[in-house]
Amino acid sequence: MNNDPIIRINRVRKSFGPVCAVSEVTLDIAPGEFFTLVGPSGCGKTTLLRMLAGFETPDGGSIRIDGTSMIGVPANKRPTNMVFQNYAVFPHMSVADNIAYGLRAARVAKGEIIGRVEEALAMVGLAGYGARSPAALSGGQRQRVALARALVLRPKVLLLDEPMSALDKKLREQMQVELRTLQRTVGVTFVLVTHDQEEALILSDRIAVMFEGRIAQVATPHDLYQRPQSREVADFIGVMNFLSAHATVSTPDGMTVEIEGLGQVTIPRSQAPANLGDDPVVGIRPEMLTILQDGTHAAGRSARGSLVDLQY
Amino acid sequence: MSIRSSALLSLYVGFFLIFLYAPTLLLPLFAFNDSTIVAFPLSGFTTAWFAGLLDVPALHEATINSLAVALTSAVLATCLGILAARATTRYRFRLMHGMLGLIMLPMVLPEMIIAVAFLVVILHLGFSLSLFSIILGHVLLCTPFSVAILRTAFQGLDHNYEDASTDLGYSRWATFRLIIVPMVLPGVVASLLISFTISLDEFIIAFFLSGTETTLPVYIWGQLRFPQRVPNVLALGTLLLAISLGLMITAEFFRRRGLRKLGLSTQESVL
Ligand SMILES: Nc1ncnc2c1ncn2[C@@H]1O[C@H](COP(=O)(O)OP(=O)(O)OP(=O)(O)O)[C@@H](O)[C@H]1O
Ligand SMILES: [Mg+2]
Repeated sequence: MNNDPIIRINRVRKSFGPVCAVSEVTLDIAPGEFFTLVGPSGCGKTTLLRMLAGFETPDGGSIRIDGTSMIGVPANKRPTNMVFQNYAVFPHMSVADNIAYGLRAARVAKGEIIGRVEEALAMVGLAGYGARSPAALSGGQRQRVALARALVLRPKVLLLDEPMSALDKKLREQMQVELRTLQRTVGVTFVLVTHDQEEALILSDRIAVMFEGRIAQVATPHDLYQRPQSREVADFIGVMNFLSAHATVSTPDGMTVEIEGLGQVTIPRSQAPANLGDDPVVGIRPEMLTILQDGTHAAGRSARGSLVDLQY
Repeated sequence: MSIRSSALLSLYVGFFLIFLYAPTLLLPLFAFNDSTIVAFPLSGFTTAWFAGLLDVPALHEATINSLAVALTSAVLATCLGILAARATTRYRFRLMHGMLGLIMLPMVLPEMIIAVAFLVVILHLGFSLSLFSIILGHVLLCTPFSVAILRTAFQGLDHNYEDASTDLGYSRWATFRLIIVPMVLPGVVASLLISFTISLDEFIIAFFLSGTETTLPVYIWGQLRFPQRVPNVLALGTLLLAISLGLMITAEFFRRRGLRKLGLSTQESVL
């Protein structure tokens, strides 16, 4: 099995005039991985994705896909295909012609095209829709056409820019499940861009969190949620309460901190960074808190309080 | 609004429309009138004036010239329009607005000025006047309309379609041919039809720049000197009016269909 990264991004930079969209990004993505770039609006996710696709040229750094440098390789010669935010399904072609479009560029034989288009339609659950006009499709169906059109070319990497943002909540959840299943089936590396952290956590094998053009953390959904490396990541992923504290004792199995108003709390080693400043900030996920009866508390892991308000 | 002022307004609109269109409506009316004198009362119905058009060789020549000039001007203006519309909607560059202003200028420039300027330049350069000089003038006149129509068509074009086509393996030129052109085609047809109509009707430039060969409007102008030919001219005018109207309606139909295809509103018109 080949474990070399399929995508190697090394110190890639891109500015638009005075705006630095991507700065010094270094990232490896493994073959077959479902990788997600997540971050707030304007953090440079789309720009990074478009540099992978070949629509933008980096100001510096290198991008290698499948071992080949992509410098100077135009978008139409790259082993990547893209699903656009609004799907960009060509309105003047039938669904089948849309899917066959890339195969024709690749000079695939006519007989083979028909078979592969059928196969691709079946793969996205649109068998029998070939003759339809895109205007007669719903948003979700158009997205499937865009997926089929890209995957039919058997790219090494599929790039997806906010593919769910145009769908309503219910359909989005359904398409998320389908997208994940599809990725497992075809085994193609997916690189997804989203600003929805929940979507990132649901779909991905690994996630890169981006802020203002740089990558703040790359981790699995579990690690990202349980062990965010910085306050900004913790704040962006899920809900987190922040409490300022003073470090007191550090022992091999944990660290005891003094939290204002709560007293001393011991944090397990795995949840605490090795070198803590004097005034660390403790973050706690609301679902990790349990309300106990008075007198049943465990020492060092609980604090007294009173219930002020209740919301479902 | 009170009833009185609304009645006044209707009256105003009524008069306005009569002034605007009544003279034009008289044209077909007298074209079918059985008398050489263009005056009321009408004496009877005839299609003789239309039939009479068939046996005037000079008229046939002028018609062929006009069609050739209009066709060439429409194609040239539309080609220029495609280039300008594409450049000014896809790319941002310095002096773009200034350039657009210059392209649009002939729309408001008096035709007389354009005609005289062309005449002076062509004669100074030592060229003789021909249909070709008329075409030059007409291209200048039609290009702004072509650019206006095509810019709307190109503006409705999402960049993502081009990116998607490139991404799927096509070169820029193939993308232009296979994606961009079909998507703006209704706009191209509208531009061709409008340019054709403008050129077909145009008089001043054609009058100043025609050498031995003339176009239809110039021919009509020449015929007005002979009173007995006036009903023939009216019949010819009626035909031209019908053709122009038909072309304009077709052009607007294509333009709207193009916008609808791109999912845009068809409410406001460019012209
Ligand atoms: N073609 C461009 N010209 C100028 N500035 C650009 C261009 N593309 C992106 N930018 C700027 O670069 C920054 C990053 O943009 P990018 O589109 O990559 O963000 P994003 O993370 O995809 O945001 P969103 O979630 O809103 O799509 C933004 O400040 C944006 O304004
Ligand atoms: Mg984006």
